[in-house]
Amino acid sequence: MSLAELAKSVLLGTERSLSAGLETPASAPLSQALETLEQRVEESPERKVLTRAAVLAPYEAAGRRSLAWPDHALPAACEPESTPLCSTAAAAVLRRLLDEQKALLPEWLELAAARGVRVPAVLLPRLLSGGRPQGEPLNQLIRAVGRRGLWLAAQNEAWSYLAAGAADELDDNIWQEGRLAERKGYLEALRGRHPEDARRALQEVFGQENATSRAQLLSTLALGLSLDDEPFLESCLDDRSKQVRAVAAQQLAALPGSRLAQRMQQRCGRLVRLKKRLRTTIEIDLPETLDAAMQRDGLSDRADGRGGLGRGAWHLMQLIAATPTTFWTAELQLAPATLLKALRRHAWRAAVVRGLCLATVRERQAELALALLEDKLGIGELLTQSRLTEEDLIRLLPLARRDAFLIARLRRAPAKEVPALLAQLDRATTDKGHRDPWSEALGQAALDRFAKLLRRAEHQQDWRLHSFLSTLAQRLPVSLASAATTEVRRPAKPIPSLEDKLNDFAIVLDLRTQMHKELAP
Amino acid sequence: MARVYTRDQVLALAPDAASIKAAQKLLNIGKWPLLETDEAAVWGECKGSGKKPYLVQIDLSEPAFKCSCPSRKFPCKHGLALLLLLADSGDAFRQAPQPPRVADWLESRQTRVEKKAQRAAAKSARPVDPEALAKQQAKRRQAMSDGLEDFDLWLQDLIRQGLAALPGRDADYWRQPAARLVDAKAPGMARWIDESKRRVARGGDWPQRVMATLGQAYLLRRAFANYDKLTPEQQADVRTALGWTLDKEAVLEDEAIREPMRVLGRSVSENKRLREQRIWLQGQTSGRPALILDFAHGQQPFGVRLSPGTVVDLELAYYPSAVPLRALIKARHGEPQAMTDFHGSDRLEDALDQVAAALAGNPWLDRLPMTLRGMRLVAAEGSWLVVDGAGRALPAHRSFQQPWELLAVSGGRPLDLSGEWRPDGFMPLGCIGEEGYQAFACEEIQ
Repeated sequence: MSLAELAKSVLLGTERSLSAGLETPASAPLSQALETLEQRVEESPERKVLTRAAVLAPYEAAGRRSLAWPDHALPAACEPESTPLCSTAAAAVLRRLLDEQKALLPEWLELAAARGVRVPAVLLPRLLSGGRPQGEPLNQLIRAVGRRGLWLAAQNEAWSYLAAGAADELDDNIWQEGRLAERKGYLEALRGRHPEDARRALQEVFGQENATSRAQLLSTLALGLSLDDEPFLESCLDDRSKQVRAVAAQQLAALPGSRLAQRMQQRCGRLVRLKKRLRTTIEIDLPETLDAAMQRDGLSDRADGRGGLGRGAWHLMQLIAATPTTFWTAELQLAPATLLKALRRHAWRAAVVRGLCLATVRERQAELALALLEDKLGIGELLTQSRLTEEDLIRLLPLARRDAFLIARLRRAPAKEVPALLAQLDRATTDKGHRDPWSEALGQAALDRFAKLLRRAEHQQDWRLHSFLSTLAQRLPVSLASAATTEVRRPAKPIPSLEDKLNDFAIVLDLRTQMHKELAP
Repeated sequence: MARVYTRDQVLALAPDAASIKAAQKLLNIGKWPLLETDEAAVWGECKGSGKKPYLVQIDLSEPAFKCSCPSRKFPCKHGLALLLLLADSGDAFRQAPQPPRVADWLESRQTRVEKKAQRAAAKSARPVDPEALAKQQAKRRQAMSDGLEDFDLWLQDLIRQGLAALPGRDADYWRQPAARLVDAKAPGMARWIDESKRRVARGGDWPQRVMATLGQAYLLRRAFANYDKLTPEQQADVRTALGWTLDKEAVLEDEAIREPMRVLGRSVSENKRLREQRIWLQGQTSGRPALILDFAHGQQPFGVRLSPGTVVDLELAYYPSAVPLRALIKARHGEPQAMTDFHGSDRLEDALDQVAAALAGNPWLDRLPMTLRGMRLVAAEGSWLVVDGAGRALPAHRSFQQPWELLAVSGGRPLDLSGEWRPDGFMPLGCIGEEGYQAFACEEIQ
């Protein structure tokens, strides 16, 4: 007899069945114990049941043993680490970041990866649970977690992103059976290693996929795109799905040597003529119609997104957006600044510049980006209509150029424009989720203008300045940290609405200072 | 060098999570115009919303806190922040002689401790009238005995009407007998009623699990009926299980045993705003276990502060019991040292034999210290198992919160575990891995 049997026998109560729960236990010590207890009291049936429970409860509790667990069912142990552990102080900073300042984690990881040290094992689960970091830092995360981190991640499905990023061999099953997002991840990873194999894998199954999958998977070719991909992409221009055709056209436009790019270039060549008199002028004819070949190449007649352009100008804009920028710089031999100067009073400036902006961002053309940004007439309005921002162009500049540009602009700008410029800084210096470091000069320039504004009553309630405070804390080079803490505190009268933010500012800078000190290479 | 508390140790002192958050907001040296320390204490000034900064001071020996802020929480965020700053950025503190306010406070604390000791000595020296005491005890026994008779009837009714009726019972069905037991000065018995109610509510195979609690309760009821036939140790266990505990003074009167004790782990559970802290100790040489039990209401801090992962030289006075575990700290000596190892069983079966032996001595124990060596952790169908070198496995308790941390620390290799045995699983409270001792959080609300 066990507790479970006893419980079952008295589910309905002794009222209903008198003999319930009164069997004699088979075990000798148990029945002996029962006998001793039962002799002493004049027992009611209920008491007999309770006495049995009183003997069985400790008997079963004390008798609970371990289970058999064959040794071979144990997972393999982690290999010994090859990198040293980070210092206790660096680990203490990491714990604080996990507790309260997750935004600073990528910086910690980057420093640790550069220093070649790893995260203490006990912090790994919390770090990995933070999820896949955006952009580049996955490599850094992989390095910082060491072998232990990869070993651990392999045992938890939620952390498989790490193992997938680190594996030498990709798991073919994901490609065969995974969900679309997983298959896309697989293809991206393969593309990063063997671009050829990735394209072939896609080509093999392309005919059997639905339109959404085709478009999504095709978009992975953007990674490591080369002329080898051109024939396949060109064939996709005849795909049933408009979505797929659009992706293919976009990829081909990004390949200056592609047939599509050449066709675009020829079309532009027929419409655009250079006149060199005293100054360079450009004559442009609008495309008259959108023929079938143009539509096949992704040019669209749809009205949405036109943003005030006439029909012909809209076609011109799309054409220029899809034409390699070498058309202007190599074929017409125009320096970017000359080109923009020549467009200044042009009737179709809006269409051409919008197209150029899109082509520039697609090709990541730093020179052209700088010329566009520095164009005297300004391109802000035109960008908005193309669903781009100035930051998209700024982040194309090499770091030194980028900082010089931002500094010059900050210095020149009248006070009332500064909050908007400051608000832009974070995004302008973040590329694909990776925060490119600020130079000291940029940090100083931003700090100077910010601190000055903060001292003027009319700016003290500007929410853009308030939120810039956290950007500044996270981005400022740590060499400026202590100067910054005193600088922003300078106003004699405290600003009550800003006290909390100023406090956070000092805490974040202090944490970053400690982090840089502890993880200095 | 002044004693520095680690971040973990400081956080463990916080009355609640909100205090930790608030303290972290103060970890900005700019907020602290003054930060000073010496061997015995640390003190500082923290800018608050008012004109005057708050004066914060901490006696590092315990630690004990004092702050001029009006907060009712204890320790307040300023005290926690000051101690955290000392842990994180010790360089920011200037070595300085104690200002009068700190020196006076330390001195008054010292005097208070001495006075308390004197009072205790005076009390124990006062002759107790044995006749009056016997009368008082007889009265209480009578009250308990009457209460347990009542309870016996309630139990019999329960069985007569059947377990199946339990899920349909209203709150009063459970509350009334529990309240009567508390009135009859047997609150320990009321605990089994609460536990039965919880088990019914939790569902699953509740009839069997409720039968077990009813059995435990009835065993206690029968043991009390036989009180005079038991050994003094057994009598003490029955009294404790019923909630009739000895005065601390009486326990402290007994001779204390002095030994460096390993602090194996700490667990906390909360029931109706009463928090219970269990700190498990193990004699460094003897391997003798001890439990330091401590209670705190709401947000009050616990009085006993021992950091898991250290070895502290303690004088302990044990409560009488057939399985002596619970003890009081009579005195502590010297500074805590880092713990590098502990005694334990290599085989789960050996450890479970020890549990069985302890339960044979005192069947009402529901948590026992368990130290295991060379164990591995394995995930099996949503639960975790501790596996020994002999191919045996024991399930980890379902409310163990940090299995992944334990797995990470182990790296899949055997390591030493300290924790609590409970009837429904092993609760790991600490381990010793390559990076030294690691404590695991165990805070439960019942």
